[in-house]
Amino acid sequence: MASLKFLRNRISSVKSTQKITKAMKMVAAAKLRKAQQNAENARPYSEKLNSIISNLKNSVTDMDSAPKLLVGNQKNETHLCVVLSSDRGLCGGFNTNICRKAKIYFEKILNEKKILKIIVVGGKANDQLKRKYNQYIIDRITLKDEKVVSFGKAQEITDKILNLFTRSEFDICTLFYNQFKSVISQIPQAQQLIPVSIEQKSNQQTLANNSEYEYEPDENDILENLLPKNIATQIYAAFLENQASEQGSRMTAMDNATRNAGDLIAKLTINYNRTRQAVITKELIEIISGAESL
Amino acid sequence: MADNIHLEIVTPKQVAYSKAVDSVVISGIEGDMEIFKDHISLITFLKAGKIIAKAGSNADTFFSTGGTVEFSNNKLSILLDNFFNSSEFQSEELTKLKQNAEKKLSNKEISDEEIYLNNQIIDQINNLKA
Repeated sequence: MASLKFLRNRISSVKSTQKITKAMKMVAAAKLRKAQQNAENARPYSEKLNSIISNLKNSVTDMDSAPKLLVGNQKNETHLCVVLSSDRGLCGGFNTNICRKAKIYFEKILNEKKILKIIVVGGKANDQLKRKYNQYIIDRITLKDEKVVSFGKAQEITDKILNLFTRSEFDICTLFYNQFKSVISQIPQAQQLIPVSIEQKSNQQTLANNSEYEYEPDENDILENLLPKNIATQIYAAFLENQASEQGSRMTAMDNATRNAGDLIAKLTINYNRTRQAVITKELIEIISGAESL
Repeated sequence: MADNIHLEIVTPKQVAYSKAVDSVVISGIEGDMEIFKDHISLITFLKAGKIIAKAGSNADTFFSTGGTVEFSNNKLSILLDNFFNSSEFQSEELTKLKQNAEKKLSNKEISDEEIYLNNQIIDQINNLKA
């Protein structure tokens, strides 16, 4: 059986780990509330933008002259994947889930003999993907210098993507991130950015809205301006979802860790007390048998 | 509410304003306009300028450097890149935006449209600060 001193040390070390995980859980909970609020605040904007674009999309009849961002460049050869992750660990399966989802997609593309390009955002995706997909990664973006992801960062990434697109370096762009559902459940998402995929609303509604709009300047000009903005907004929204998910995931992970540490402490304490009692009993037996032999 | 339009101003960060108003003055990309009830459905862009929401004798004034406007069924949605209350007209943020526009202008390769829009930003911010 382990010695008393060993057990004592072990208990105190688990206790201090528990203190850390408990503190991290509380910090994550506080940050989660803010991140969730941010994500919810951003939702109306992207919804409105989406509805405007879907209205416009319906009114564009001539697909040939429509902006490329809307209809794509009719090819399906090169895929660009943008993987959003966090820069910090200790948040459960958060980063692994995104990467797993992304890897499945990568394999599918590579199996179809298409060209794959990857942009990783955040350190953890880079760590997980570089071993196998290093030759495909064309850009790495770190989030280390910002505490809260700003719209500017989303804009920066958008500019990079648009730059590549105008140089025809890819045909289809997909964004990977975690959608925040609840504290215990975050769903990894793959969202196609280019060409734009917009959920079709019920036909009736779009028809009713569609016919009477007055555009200033005309539809194509508006679309050409709105689509890049839409991409930036979607990336920003994805960032915010990701952030809320990260904190939620961390909170659950740390809650579990704290509970496990508690269980471990209970077990070790029982073990410790048993060992101590055994030592006392042994000493007593020695004393008694020593006295008897006299 | 029969003779009102509902104005909603949204930014990527928040829903900044949501109220029933009588009319709204916006600085559209092809000229200023005032939108009243039963205006035709409309989608347009904003250039830098003030947005004035009038309700009775009250008028709320905001400033933005650009955005998108959608009007339909007496509901006016304004999507803004940035948003300043009248109390924030002297803020540092605006100075930064102005410097940003100046930086863009110093780049020779930008289009006439961008030159116009950035000049507009500078002029308008100068107006506000004056």
